[in-house]
Amino acid sequence: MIRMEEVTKEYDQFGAQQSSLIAADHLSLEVSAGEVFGLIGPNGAGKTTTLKMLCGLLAPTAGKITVNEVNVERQPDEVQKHIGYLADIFSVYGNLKVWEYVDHFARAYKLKGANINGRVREVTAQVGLESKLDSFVEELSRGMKQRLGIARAIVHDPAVLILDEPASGLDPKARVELKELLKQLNRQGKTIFITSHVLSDLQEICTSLGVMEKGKLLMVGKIGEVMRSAAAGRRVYVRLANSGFELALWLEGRGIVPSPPGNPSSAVFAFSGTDQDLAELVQSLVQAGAPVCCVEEKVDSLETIFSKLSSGEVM
Amino acid sequence: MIPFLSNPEFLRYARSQLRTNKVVPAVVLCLALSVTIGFFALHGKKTSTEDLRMAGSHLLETCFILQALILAVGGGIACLNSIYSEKEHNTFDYQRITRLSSVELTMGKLFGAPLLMYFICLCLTPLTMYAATVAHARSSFVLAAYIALLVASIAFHTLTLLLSLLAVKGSQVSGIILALLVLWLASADISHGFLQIHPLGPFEAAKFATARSWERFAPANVPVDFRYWAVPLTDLFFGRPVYHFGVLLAVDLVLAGWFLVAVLRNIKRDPKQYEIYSPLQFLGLALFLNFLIASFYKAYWATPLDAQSEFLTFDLIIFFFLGVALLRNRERIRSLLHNPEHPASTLWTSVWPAPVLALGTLLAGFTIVARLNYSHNPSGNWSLGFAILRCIVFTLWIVSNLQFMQCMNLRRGKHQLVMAVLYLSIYYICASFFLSAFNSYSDPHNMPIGSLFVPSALFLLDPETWKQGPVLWTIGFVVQLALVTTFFYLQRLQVRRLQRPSISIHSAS
Repeated sequence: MIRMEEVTKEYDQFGAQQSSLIAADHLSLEVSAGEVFGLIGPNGAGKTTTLKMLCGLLAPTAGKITVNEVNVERQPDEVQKHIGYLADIFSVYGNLKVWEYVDHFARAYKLKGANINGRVREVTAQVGLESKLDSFVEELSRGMKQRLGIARAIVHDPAVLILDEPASGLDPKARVELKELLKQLNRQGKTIFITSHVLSDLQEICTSLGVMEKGKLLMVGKIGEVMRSAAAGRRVYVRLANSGFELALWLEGRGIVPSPPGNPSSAVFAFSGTDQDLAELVQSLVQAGAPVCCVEEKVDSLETIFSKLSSGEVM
Repeated sequence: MIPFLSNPEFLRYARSQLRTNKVVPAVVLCLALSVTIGFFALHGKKTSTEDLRMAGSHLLETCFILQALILAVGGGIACLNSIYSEKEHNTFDYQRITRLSSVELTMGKLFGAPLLMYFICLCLTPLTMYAATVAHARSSFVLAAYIALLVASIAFHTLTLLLSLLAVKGSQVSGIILALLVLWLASADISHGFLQIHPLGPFEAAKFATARSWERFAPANVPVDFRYWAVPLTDLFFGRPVYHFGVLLAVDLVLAGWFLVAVLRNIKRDPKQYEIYSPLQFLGLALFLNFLIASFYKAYWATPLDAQSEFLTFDLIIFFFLGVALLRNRERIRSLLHNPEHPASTLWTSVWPAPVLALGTLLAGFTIVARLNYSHNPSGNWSLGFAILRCIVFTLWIVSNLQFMQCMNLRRGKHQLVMAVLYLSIYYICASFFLSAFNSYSDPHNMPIGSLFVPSALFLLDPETWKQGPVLWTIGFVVQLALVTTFFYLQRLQVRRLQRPSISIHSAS
């Protein structure tokens, strides 16, 4: 669905330090249809530049981008059929009414005249703005404007949605609503390419993930794979019903060093075996007479993984 | 192609500008203005029919000046804001990624942005019609005045739309000043001295409305010293009287076309990749402007040498401004060099825009020389060889200056092009003062020395002045050649730096 091949974008940066800045450094990635791809990275990593190149707003210095098999640079008008874009900087025409705003973009995306009214009602209902059709855009709250932005992005029913920090500046309730809306759009078959600093939300909705820093993709893949490989092996937590069993001693006897040591009724340890190996270990522990009441695989949050990756801990 | 009235961009402007809260005050204001102006213009003028007719004629003129002011200035500022303010508010990116073609987006903006001004003009039409009736104006003149007003305003709007597209942050005021300057130039007496043509701006509509006859002047009655007030409604095209109305429509429409070409070419592009004209378009526009000047150039001149000198001075302005439009920035050069399919050659990029500029200046220069040489009796100081030499020197001068600006534009920094213009201006102002002090412009003995610093002295080079200092003249010629070569070399260094594989500065920081 989305393919980037060796895409590079070089800028000049001005100011105290005048130099070239490589916002995207030979980026190559592929996002399949129906995926929700999250691109994370610190500020200035090159995420927005990458998204702008994806939808044809910026011309790459080198490399090739295709969306739905259409070359973004060579067929800029054709590719817009397939893309809906929401920028990180918030901007709408305040002097239009909500229906006029959506209608404008429906026409600009060349929807057939007869379908436009229906489509305007449909998308405004989808984003929960059907009661605001006759309100002026400038009167809407920030959350509503963001939803209006999404209505604009989906009005022509594109296969791909490119969203740059859609949750920024939204209150918790609006964030939850946005997340639900994105899940709903994904269920309808839309491929979503999203950047966000709210990593917990991304963890919940993304199927694939790319970690970007200094213009480079540090890691890219299915979200599970990325999180596992970034966590450098699995960690297992075991808790006993009482402290009558020497759990740490038993584990050390099998060459496993729990951390932190000292707690007699629970332990956390790194485990490099397969799921079957883990099952056998737990079985042995029960057979040895340990009153096991909880076994849990510890998973790092996306925040933890991101901080490990960006600090170079996992590189 | 979307039908014009369904153009989404036009509709958007119509919806936002023609709301009741804007339309009602506009109507009330126009009504009050109409009543006030009408009353003061015609009050107490009923002493005679002729008095009343004259008052009506003045009122008609006032109405058209007012409408021209509203439509051209008001509409021009609206067009000037249209793209610039959208860039400022970050809504322009959304326009660029819709499926609207460049033509649809441009037309929507061109006619949509000044829509309120069109409406205000419409509200002033009743007063205009009343004034036309009182003045006994012929309906064909009033119609012609409206057509001229519309065409000249559209031409001006296309220019302001182009300026709006090219304006960068903080340059809006400069854009407004430049646009008003152009409007003033188009409305002023441009016939004075060189060109035998009436003004081409929208204010000309007032003259059409109050004209009494479509008669154009017979060739025999056109004075040698052409002044536009002496031959109303008549221009001289290659020395032949032609209707000014037709000239205004033709020239304004063609100019609007050229401005539109630039807007259409760039409106959906990444702003860092703007390239105002392609080389062919540049040549086309440069030759069109030369044709325009040549065709309305005064029919009688002192000597062919003076005429060529004046043409070269016009060309200096034309090629300097159009040459600036050809300049490429670092991002554009990078993209061209790193194009995976057809990477630009280092040599071609290093000498850009010299070949196109040279071709344009030589084509224009040689055409003029041919016309001067074969259409009129060459006078004593006219020599074909020297005329060609003057063209070549002119080409070298333009190329060296533009090549300097291209070099500067490839340097890393925020306002390198502005700096280049500033350096050039300072150099030429200082050099001119020094040369004036040494009489280098008037004293034939000092002219060769002057040509070393400001080559305009070479525009008057003829066999006589050549004899004053052949070595110095030759050095002046060689200096220009050396400058061009030096700037080629410097530009090549910059291009090579941009061509190198990128090294992430991120990792260095």
